[in-house]
Amino acid sequence: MNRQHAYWLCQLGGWTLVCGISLLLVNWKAQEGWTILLNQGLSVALGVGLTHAFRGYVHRAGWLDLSLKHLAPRLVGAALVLSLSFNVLSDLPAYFGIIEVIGVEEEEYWTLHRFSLNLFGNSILMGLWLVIYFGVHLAWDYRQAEVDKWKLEAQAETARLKALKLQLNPHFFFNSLNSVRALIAEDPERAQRMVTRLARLLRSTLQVDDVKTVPLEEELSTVRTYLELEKVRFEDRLRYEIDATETALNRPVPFLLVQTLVENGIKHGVAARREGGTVTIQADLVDDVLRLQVANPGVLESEEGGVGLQNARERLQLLFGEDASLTLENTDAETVTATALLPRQSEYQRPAVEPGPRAVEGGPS
Amino acid sequence: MSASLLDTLIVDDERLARRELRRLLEDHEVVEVVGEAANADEAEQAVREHQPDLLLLDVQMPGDSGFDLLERLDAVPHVVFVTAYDEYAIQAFEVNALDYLVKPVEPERLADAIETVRARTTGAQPQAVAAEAEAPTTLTAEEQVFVKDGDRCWFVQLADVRLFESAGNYTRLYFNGHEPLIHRSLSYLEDRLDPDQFFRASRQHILNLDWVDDVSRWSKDKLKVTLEDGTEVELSRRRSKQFCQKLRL
Repeated sequence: MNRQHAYWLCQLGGWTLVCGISLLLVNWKAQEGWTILLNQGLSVALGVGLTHAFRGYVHRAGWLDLSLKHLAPRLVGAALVLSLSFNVLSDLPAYFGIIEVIGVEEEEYWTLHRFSLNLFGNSILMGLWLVIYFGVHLAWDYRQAEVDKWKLEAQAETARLKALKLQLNPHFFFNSLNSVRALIAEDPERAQRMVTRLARLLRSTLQVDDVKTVPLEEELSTVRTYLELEKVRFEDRLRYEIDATETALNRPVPFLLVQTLVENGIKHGVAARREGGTVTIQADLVDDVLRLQVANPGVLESEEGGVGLQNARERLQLLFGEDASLTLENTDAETVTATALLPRQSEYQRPAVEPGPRAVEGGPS
Repeated sequence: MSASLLDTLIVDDERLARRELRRLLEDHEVVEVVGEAANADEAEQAVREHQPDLLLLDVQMPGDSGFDLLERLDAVPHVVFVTAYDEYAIQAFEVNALDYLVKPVEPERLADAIETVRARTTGAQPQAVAAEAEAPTTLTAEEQVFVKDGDRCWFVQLADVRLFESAGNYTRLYFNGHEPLIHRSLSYLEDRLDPDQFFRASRQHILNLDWVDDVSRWSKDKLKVTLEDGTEVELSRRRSKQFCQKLRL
């Protein structure tokens, strides 16, 4: 049963019950059956109609989003207005003589005493309606919020694990370990340097959760470490250039963003090509917007890029807002360039940069 | 002793990876490294030149992959895949999943792999000798072909293939309940397959004589062959005559 069905069932059932009970309480023996039925029907219709109209207003005015503190006085007011309206409207047919009043004589009915008594009863009735309606909503929302919370947590956990695996790039690590093994026999000193670099890179990768942004200078240092490791694997096939302006170096960038772009560049522009290629990394400021560009030889197949690039794009926009962008294009027939644009973060939205015990140094040895 | 040497070709795009394998293989006297290749093209040439018994093959290479290389070869030697981290590619093997090694290669695992290949090669005739005797090489029932159909791959011994069916430039292979396509025409295969074992039944079919269960006459001068799995193959008039002559021999 969906919420809409439940609502109507409660409305009709509830009002029929209430009106039925109130009939039992009055002396109706003097009346004919059809008058009572008509009276009963009108009351139910009025109750349902009035509260349904009120529900429409509640939705439009956004009462369901109010805190209990703001909601409570409104509910008291609503109960009064509703019961007054119910009182007046339910008396109208009898007042104009369309139907007879039931339970009491005409002259006895039209008194202030009787009116106040009815108003009091109806206030309680409407108060009850409000409590039930908003109570159900609160319970429902609470349950939904719990479910959403768990769903979100599960999603976050899955995403975190995926990200970690992506960052770790097992293919790269196992190939590198294999190269080290070969180097131990061929060039032990170089093998030692390689192990140090691998450790350094592994350490920064594992920090991906704690650190959200790092100064570009530090990111480029990680990238250099990575490139030097890949150079051991690809030898002459991999060439690289890094060109960053002084002013760009202090700007924060999402941790491992440039690294992801370079990894992508090597995968498509070096590993996939027999003759290898040059990966060019450029960083500068254009109208106070940090522009990061990573170019590699190749022809673009899809502008979206792979999963890794899409993750990087999402992360970039989470950290730097919707104005930040990451695009992939063929800048000429044989070059693919990834361009990231990072606007300056305003102070209040800048995520805290946790320096921590960082192992990345100034550059490769 | 030299006759039992395992002629091995190393295929990997990284020089250090090739060097490491070569160094590891030095401990194995039965292995003779006959060459190295850094990509599929070099490897294809080296295979034709050296006719190795064993390929140590990296799956991911620039240009064509290790799988592409195997598809290009008519008959494939024994293959041990050496890969950094693409176990999913290896999992593609449905039947007789061959050995594969992960980098960095563990010496013990390498020894096991070599032992497995050695066990399989004993008894099989050395392919290189046949190659020198007659060119182009005839594909005998003992030899295996590499078949890739979508995501699934097989090393199939030709003895297991009971029927070849023409499909334009492709041919459908029937073996062990599978029927993938390979990119070879039926005529091409007819030229290469051992004629004592594989018989061209019609424009549509080549059948493996070892799998023939029953032969009947379905018209005045045409034969119908039933294979062991129940498949019926109709022979053309001309082929029926050839078939009778062949059986009389």
